[in-house]
Amino acid sequence: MSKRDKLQPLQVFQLLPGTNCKKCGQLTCFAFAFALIGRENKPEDCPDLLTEQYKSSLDLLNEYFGGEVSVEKTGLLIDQEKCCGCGDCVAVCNKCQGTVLFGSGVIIPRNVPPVLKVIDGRVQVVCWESCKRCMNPPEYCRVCEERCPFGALELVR
Amino acid sequence: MKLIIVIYRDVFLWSEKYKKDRTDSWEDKAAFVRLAEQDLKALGISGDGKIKLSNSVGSIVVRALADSKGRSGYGFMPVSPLVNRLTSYGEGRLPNFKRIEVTAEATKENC
Amino acid sequence: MNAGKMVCTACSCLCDDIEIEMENGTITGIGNACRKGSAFLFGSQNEKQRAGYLAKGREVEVESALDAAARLLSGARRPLLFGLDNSTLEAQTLGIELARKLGGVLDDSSSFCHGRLVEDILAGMLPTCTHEQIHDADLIIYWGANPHNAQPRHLSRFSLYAHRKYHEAGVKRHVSLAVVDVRESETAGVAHHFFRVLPGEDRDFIAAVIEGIKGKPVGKDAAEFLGLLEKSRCCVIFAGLGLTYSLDNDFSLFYELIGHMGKWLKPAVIPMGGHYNARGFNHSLYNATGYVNKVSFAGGRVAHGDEFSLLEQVRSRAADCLLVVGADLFSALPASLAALLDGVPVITVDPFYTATAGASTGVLGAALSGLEAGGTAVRMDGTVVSLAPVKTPRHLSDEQILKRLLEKLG
Repeated sequence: MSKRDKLQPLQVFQLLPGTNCKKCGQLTCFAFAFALIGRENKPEDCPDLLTEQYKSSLDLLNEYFGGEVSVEKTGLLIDQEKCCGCGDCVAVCNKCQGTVLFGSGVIIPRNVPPVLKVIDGRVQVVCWESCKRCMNPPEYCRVCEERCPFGALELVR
Repeated sequence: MKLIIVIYRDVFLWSEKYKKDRTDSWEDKAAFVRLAEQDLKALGISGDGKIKLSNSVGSIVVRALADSKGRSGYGFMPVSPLVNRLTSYGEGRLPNFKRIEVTAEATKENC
Repeated sequence: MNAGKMVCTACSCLCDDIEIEMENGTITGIGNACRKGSAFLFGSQNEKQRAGYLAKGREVEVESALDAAARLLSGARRPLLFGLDNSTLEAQTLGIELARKLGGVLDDSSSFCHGRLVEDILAGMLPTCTHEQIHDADLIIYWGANPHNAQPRHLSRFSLYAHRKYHEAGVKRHVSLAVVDVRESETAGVAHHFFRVLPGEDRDFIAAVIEGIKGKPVGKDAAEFLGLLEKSRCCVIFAGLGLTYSLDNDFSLFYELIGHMGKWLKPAVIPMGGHYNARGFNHSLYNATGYVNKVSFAGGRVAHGDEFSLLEQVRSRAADCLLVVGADLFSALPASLAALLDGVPVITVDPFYTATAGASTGVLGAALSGLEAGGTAVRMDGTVVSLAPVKTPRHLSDEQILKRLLEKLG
């Protein structure tokens, strides 16, 4: 099963009006393309996209970036259709929760509740606050995404 | 074109069997074969094309999907009663679930 | 609302950490179970999928269904009992007793799955270990197995990710995962080493590795595989159906490789059984008769041979009545072989209304082990797991059904 083709920023940009009207809150349409990929903006934030002329673009963008409210907060996109609930992400996340003492290989446990849990056969975020991305300073760990055998997890930031 | 079909297990199709609001049968969903891209090209199949697989035991029509990691000459089909129309058993051996020799051709017939 | 822990019986992992949320006797939420397990447990509540009590296609009371089944069995001259892979050890013991009483043939799917490997493990010819002992291993090999599709939680619960020396973040890995398969499966995608063998070429690959061990020059893949083995001190091989089918049930060359490996490392083989208690059936029958499958009790004597395998019995039209317990024969067999069962009365004992149940003369709907019925089962690695039911059953358990059949047969 191949990973769903990710849209590149340039491909997203080509679907946008290209007027740089700034109504979405971004300085340029290209910045809006990045914001869409990072789930900081939604397709409907662009007023021009809502017109009849851009209907096909909006449909395509919604297919990729619509829905999934929690993604805005977590940046972790879970494709429920692709998840087999194997729990590999849960296991590796729990294993790498500790902070590794640089150079020594010693792991200091953080003792936090698990970030992910398999519920009804699909993985879900249950405690995002435990993620290393929520630490201060954040650690941009991608282990859940990397070890998913079906490519069901995608960290968009 | 001569092909060797190997049966494999698919967790998603397996789960489909027990779905409550199942409107279409999972056997229909399992009616596909994954082939190497060059084999699809050689057969003249593109997009959502159908393929007819036949041997001395029987024949079936399934959807042909591209498998980017596939090897030419080999096809992979998920476990289902459908693929068993092509399998056979000879005395003293195991059934040929993991090595089914078939002849493949593009078709316009329905699955 | 109440929450309880139960053992999932959807596959041979027998995960015992499944959290169940129930409201008024209905499952509303399942925690920790994989997609396969959840679908299986939720599916058990789907009345359309469940088998009832049928005799000659008509819905009947339990008693009449049992009577009809007992009549068919007692009238048969060469009955065949098949299945019991999805039954508890207790039910299996009763199944063996029933086959003995009927003087029939008894077989399960292991005769065309992992029977040979389990037999050799039980006979002490093949080294094995339990999932807990995997912690000593530094090399885990899945050979012809695709756990992410067949036993989804195997890596996270028992092997790679459960390994105490496995740590993703920055620490040197002490355990490697290798996959030998015909398909670049999902498991192969996350493995550290992947060796592709073409269908039926496992024998050549093993032979090449053995040549390499003897110091002869070999190909790139075999040399890399040998390199892994040479570095290892303890290696666990999970043998899948791909290996069994590729070697056509003749493991002599594989055993030779294990023998060579034993000179410098500790090898262990665990067959990746499919049904939850398939290994349990082999254990039960081995304890009772000394054989793991393909047994005949005709004439009051125990006989064993390939002619008593399900496939041979069906091919030669030897059986004149079939009792199938917890197996979907008609979906699993080659259609040309299943067609030979036309006209043979079949009695099915199964929680679900399968294709086999649809083609049966008598159907006895059973409770779902683990969820609605208790007992004990043997996990794929040989560990005994006890099942405690969390739900009140509406059907008899297969143990009760077999017991009632035994009583009715006198």
